[in-house]
Amino acid sequence: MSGTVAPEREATEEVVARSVADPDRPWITIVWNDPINLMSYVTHVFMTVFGYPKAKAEKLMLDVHERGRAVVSSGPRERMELDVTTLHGYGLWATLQQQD
Amino acid sequence: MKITPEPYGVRLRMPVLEADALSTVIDDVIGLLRGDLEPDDPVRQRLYPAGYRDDAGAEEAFRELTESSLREERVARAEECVSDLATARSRRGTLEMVLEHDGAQRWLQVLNDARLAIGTRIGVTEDDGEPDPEDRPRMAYLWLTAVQDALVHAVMASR
Repeated sequence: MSGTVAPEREATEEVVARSVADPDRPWITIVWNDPINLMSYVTHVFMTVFGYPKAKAEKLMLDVHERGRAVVSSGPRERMELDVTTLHGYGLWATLQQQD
Repeated sequence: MKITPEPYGVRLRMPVLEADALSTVIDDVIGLLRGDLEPDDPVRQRLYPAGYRDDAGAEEAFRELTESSLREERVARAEECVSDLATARSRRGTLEMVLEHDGAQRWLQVLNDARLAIGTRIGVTEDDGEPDPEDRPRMAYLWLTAVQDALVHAVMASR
């Protein structure tokens, strides 16, 4: 029986821990898949905005396309807000959040 | 339309009629950007997506800070593209537009803005199948898609 009770308690503690802002947890910028942005264009944007080499930019683009999302950058909250704003300027669907 | 990479950027050649059509599409986008879109309009939600998904307070502050400047940025770059077309040289029914790297980058963004607006309005999905040639908005969308894709590849080749 303990096997069924313990995970529940752990799960609750995890939820509580997550909801408390921890200043040490980094922030991340996520790009989400959408049916309009071209694969070629998204690769180009990752190369232009982040200076990523083509291979890395293409891998991130494929992650977005196939898995529905990809973490494209991480760092302080203010910098992630800037990244998201820049990506919105390029028409990509980007959000920021604190890493789980 | 023929788009070729050059050491300084890209060169576009197109029939004057196609250039006129492009100018009209971009003018329509400028009108849409300047007009008032309802907060729940899908086009507005797509052009100005939320930065925060699960934090309404942070999202409100983020939108307050970014939406109007992004709108101004979009209008300004679209106007520059209309001006590029108006001032480009044309001869014997063919218009030639020479763009340096910055200009090509701006064109990519403006074509993307137009595709986001039209594509969202007509409800594009990833598997739409064969288009109906009579469906003018969809044909316009597919035309812009082909132009943007060719321009991305030319820009990448001219890096």
